[in-house]
Amino acid sequence: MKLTRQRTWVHRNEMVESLILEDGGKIRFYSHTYMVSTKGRAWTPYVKWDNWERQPHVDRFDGSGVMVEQKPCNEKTLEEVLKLVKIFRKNLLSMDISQL
Amino acid sequence: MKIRISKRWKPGDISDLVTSFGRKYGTLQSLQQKVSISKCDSPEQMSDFIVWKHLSQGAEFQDIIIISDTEIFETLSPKRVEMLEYLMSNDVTSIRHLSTSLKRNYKNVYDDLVALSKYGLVDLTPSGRSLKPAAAASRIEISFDV
Repeated sequence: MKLTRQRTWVHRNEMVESLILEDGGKIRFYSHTYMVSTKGRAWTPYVKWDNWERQPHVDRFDGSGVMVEQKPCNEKTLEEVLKLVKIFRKNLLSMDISQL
Repeated sequence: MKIRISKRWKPGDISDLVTSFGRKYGTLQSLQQKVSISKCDSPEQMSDFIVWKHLSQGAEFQDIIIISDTEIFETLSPKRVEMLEYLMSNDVTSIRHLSTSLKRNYKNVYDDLVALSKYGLVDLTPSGRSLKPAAAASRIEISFDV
């Protein structure tokens, strides 16, 4: 079993924190969270894609760290999430992310 | 340009991390219950649960930081790189210990550590009444993609 935690800086105050659990060459668990830090304060989650309990879904937060929506969506790789985050960044908060 | 910072956790570091989870949450079962009830509304708790559970089962653990923001070079001054290299190969007990080892002013060392910690390059862990600095990386690579 191998756990990898990767933080990818998208911008000075924005990053994607990813946690991937691999077992026998297969990804058993993933979580990719787009987070923003304002004025050097703690990181606040904006959007999170994960497959908790083997159910791929996306969670949307309200900008202050409170989850406002959870919708099922296709499994997402880190590369796909990074692509979305780099294109839409904070606009993701007002989009129907499950359709992306 | 891309900077890739990686850290493969040693058994001693993993043991410290597991102990810190115990202090923070009590038991793994109580954290599992919290995560199940909250239905993923806390990414931190969910990640801590996955890490704690699988480290307890002997999983290997690697941390990677990718920075493609060129502003990182404003942070990586020669003195800060020197400090980072020192922390990657030496264990220090406090910021005072580090400033004495590097023969540098305490405040400048503190300011440099805070700047490096903003990019996740160093960890500042409370230890008694002081902060214990440690390198968040065991390897740093800079690459230029064509």
